[in-house]
Amino acid sequence: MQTFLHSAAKPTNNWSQLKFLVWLSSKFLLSKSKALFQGTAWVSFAGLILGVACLVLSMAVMSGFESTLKKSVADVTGHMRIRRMGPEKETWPAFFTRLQAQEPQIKDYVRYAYLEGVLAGQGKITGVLFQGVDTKKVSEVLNLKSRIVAGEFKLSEGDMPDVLLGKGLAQQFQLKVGDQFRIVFPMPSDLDPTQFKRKVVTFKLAGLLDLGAKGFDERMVVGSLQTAQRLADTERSSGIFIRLQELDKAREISTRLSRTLGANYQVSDWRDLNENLFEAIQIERIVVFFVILIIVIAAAFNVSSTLYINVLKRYPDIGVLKAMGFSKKRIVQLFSLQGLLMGLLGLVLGVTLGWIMCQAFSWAEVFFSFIPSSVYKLDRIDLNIRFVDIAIISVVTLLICFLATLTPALRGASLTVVEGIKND
Amino acid sequence: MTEPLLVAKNIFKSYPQGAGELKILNGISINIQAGESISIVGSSGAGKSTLMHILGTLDRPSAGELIVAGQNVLAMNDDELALYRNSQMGFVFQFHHLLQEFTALENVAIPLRIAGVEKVQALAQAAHFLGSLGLGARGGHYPSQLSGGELQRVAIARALVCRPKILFADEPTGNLDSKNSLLIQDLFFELKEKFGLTLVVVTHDANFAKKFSRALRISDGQWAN
Repeated sequence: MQTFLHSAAKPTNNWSQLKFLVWLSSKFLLSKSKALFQGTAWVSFAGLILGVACLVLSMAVMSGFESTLKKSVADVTGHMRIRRMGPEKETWPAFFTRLQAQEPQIKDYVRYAYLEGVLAGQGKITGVLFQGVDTKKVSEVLNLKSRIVAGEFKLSEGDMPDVLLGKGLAQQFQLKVGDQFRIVFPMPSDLDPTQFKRKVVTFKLAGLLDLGAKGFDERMVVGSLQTAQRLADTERSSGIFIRLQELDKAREISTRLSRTLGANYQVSDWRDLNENLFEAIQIERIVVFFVILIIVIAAAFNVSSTLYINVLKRYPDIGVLKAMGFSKKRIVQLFSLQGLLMGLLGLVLGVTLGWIMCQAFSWAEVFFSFIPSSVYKLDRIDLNIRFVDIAIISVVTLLICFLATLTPALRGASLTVVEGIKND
Repeated sequence: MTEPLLVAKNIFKSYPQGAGELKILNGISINIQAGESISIVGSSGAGKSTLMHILGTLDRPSAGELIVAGQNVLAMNDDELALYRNSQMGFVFQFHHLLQEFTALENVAIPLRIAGVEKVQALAQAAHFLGSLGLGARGGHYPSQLSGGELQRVAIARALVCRPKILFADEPTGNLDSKNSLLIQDLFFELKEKFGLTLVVVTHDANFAKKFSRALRISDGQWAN
């Protein structure tokens, strides 16, 4: 028997030691007599859960705001837009082939033309933007079909062309699918370029679009490119909308193209349309994160005090563990691990609660308007729980919990065996 | 004569008390041979437990030397001492000090896990050890489900499972009835013979103290005789 035991006591690897510490920590954590979750400890733990949940919700709102607006812009005006400012030296297909050779990320294009007009009716009058798109290629580049909320996706030509309207615009003028309405387009006079002649066109409302952003919904009329060209008495189009393989590459590609294409072309990406807003969102996201993080920090201090009390209760256990050969370092690891396990549990429950709150927010958005669309350009946000947000929240929460538990853990480690044993 | 297993020279221990200090041990020396059994008796506050803690490296003296198996253990830092204790020394206290959240088997396996033995192997060895002390059937029980005598036997198993050279016990029968006290006393000597242990026991029980090869009395921090 003498040799039996000594031969077995071979040093094991760090992984095995970590498993041993996790085993000890989890047993201590779930103990009935000296459990961490006793009395008011639940309150501090609930604070941690709530703090994490608030972080998840706020990040989902901020990311959702950005992605909703981004998607709206990309769906309606493509990932990038190129306008020709000078004379037409090459056809759009030839131009596009040259562009694609230069930037392989570019996937497809659709020609468009913009016309400003005025819609009047019901005692109201408002300016509208007529976006004429090439009906053959529109679905390859823009994502308008999925935004139809009433009627059908139909852009016809003829004397009374079928068009689509932003739902806000239709609501403002109480237009329903199948209704006819007129738009007045001011056109430059052939005789005197400083004068305008008016062109009145009657359209038929084929479908309503939920374009996501208030600016689009209350101003946009989508028709065919041919209709726009006929109204403007030209074969030309304003430019092309471009679809990329990856939306997030738009900024770097548009910057490169602006340099290479020169002054004859104006290149813009989805971000340019709301540059200030997107920048504000980025700043707000950071500010909101740190403000709500204070809740988590406060909760972590409560967890720390709970753990401190637990260390006091465990003086005899610490003493006997040290007598059996536990080093100071391992005592620190043991109690830090308890803090980390609490943090991990709080994190999992907090993320789960945060997800539930996001679902509730999305549901309530249908009935209540939380966001003033006049300020934020959106009347609804599709919440976006991003992996990267959850990863950052997880790392920061666990780090805070770890740091908060160091003080009680160090207190436990500084205890002598005799102090511990006499404390029973 | 062989080299003593443990040599303590001029051990002093005092604690600060107000402006002065409270002296507990006043220059105690002792040599302990391997395989020897020693009892230390004395009145409360005489310093016997403090001496045992210092001999067992659980506490450091204010002054003095401590050599165990030829090694100056006081030169080691706390973490080195902890490892040293794990492999060379076992401890039994008046109160069993078993961890309440762990079964008897797990409690006995903990020193092995600290030593680096894998879980399965540690539990197997702990079960084997508990079995040899007649507690094989109690391995799955928690401390709250065991009697006083059983608790102390589990504590003894935990102290010996890493096969220490010296077993220190501080009033190991002080919390037991007379029947269980006698059983534990007999167990100490049985295990001493079986494993060739060196025994150092602090006790108030004069009859128990007489059973040791050397019985020492401490008074006011010094040997009484």
